[in-house]
Amino acid sequence: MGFLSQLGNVLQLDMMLFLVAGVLYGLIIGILPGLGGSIAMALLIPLTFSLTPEQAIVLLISAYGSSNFGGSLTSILINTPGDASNAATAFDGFPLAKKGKAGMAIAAAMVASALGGLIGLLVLDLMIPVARKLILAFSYPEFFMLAIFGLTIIAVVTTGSLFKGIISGLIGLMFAYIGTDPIMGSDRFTFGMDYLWDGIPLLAVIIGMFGITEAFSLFSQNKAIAHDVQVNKGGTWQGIKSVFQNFWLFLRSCFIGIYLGMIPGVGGTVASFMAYGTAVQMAKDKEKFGKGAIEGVIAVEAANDSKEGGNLLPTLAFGIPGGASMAVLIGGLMIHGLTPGPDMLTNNLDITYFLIAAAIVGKFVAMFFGLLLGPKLVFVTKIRGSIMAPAIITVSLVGAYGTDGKFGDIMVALLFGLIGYYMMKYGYSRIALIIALVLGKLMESSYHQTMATFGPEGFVTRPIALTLVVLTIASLIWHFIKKMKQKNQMKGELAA
Amino acid sequence: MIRINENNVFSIAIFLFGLLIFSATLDLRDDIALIPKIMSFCLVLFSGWQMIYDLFPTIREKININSKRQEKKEEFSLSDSAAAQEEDEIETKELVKKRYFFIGWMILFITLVYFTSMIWGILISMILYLKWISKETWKMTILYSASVALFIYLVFVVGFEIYYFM
Repeated sequence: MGFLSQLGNVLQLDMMLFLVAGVLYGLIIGILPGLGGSIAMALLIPLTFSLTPEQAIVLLISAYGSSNFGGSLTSILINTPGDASNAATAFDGFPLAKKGKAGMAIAAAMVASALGGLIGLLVLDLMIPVARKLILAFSYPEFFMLAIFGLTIIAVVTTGSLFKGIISGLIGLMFAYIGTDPIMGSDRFTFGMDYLWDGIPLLAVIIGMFGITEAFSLFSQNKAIAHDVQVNKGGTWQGIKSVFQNFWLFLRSCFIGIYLGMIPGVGGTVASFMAYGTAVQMAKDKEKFGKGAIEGVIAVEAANDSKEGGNLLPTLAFGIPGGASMAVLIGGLMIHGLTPGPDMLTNNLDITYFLIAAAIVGKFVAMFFGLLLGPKLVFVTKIRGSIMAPAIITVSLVGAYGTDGKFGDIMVALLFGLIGYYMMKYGYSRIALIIALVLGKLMESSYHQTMATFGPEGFVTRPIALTLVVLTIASLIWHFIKKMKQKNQMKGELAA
Repeated sequence: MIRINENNVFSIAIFLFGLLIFSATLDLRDDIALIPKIMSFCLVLFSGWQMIYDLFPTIREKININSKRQEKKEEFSLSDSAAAQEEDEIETKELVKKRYFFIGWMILFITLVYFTSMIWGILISMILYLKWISKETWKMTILYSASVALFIYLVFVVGFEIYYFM
């Protein structure tokens, strides 16, 4: 454990002050919809010019690490994810808030995030010497099968009509294909609009589908989020306990996050959705997901934070950023004369371990503030719907607009808010649409890359891909067998 | 007999969207648009069936009568639509009016953002909402609108120097 040698340096007073400042700043950025870890770091970089490399690292990495904590708070409380990777937290976190268990959900999210982050960073510490082989084991066929495996979640998470769940998934796929095709790079389904060349902005869609739809529904009903239930104020301890009660789920989600985080280009959003999907697929009682299952919150948050350890691996070891946030971090490090790549594992190994130590301490400081402040925000679930609605709309539109400053993003958020409202009203699955939107592009690009690189046999001859095929088929068969059993049981009970 | 209501209009919109995307894939090469082609064809098929089911109550009733297993209906038939149709019928005109009013307010909000700025858009639309839609007191209206607009101004314009918010 190389980071232990640097822990003392991080725990010094000046470093701790930078760390607390970074954590609080990251929490606020995370709470604001549309702003995530990459923006948190990008805005901080100019402030680090006059700092030493160590102070800059502490400030950047603690702000990045805590932004996810803030994002999960808004997902749980007002169904408006702070960032795309927090979207899956809302699937079960918000229904828990509606049941008056927001405090429990927040506590579970904070603890799962902190411990998930810790595990991710510990694995990073251990993996640095053997990273390369593991990263190269995953190629295009595995990505394709991973996307297909993820899409089968739709069959499981859809409540009500499965037929409408499939339609919702297909709509999501169609939206995912808007933009440029992965082979020729030519535009498709853009209908002459330049704005659509980059595809449908995921964050604006998520903000619309969850935030605006929720505001709409709050306005229509004119009731508070947790209107007909007693808000459970003492849920913090219950939330903390739930993480340990579901420890295997937590650990499994951590490893999904770490592994997907290691692979450049896959992104944290896919990691959190995959962790959610796996939690659903492997649960004994699948029906409770989407209706307020604490396991759904734990899985997503654990994967979301543990992926940071995975993300840092190619960034530090090879200088390959796993995503936008890591690219910003590389920029921040280079300003201070630190070039990510083999140099970080040889000449600057101390700095690498210092970074890991700072990230670990940052996670626990963020958990402390999250647990201190988060449950106090539960009161928002008791505010009258007609008062909450305009504030949620405002925050959502600000979030959609704030990321890139494109007016089109506001239009997309509003449009998807309306679509989401009617989907909810007429029994279509919003979750299925989002899952398909996230995984659709990965599925298509990896399909073409597999065909070009390995040919059709690539899907069934590689051991990891084959395992994923088997898992996909088995999970679907198991789901339908279980459904049939439930039906027969119900039939028997009715006959009796 | 065809029945037209919000639910049917939504089903038609999904079908038309599927049809639009599917027709756009016809111009694309098979090898580069294979997946969108297959998926959009499936969407046309599924949403078309759903649309017919929603539009023609007689067909729906026939399917429901022919379907002997009640639980199967809940699982894979389209019983949610029947529930939605019933819900539509009991929804009062007042509620529908209220909903369109809210949609109108959101459109006004983004129009204001387009012609003024995000901060002014927030301030004006919040005042309009709180006073005329939510029927709050003037004190509440001014305080709430000003607080939200000021918060967004301080965080995004002053704090992060996001120029396009002003």
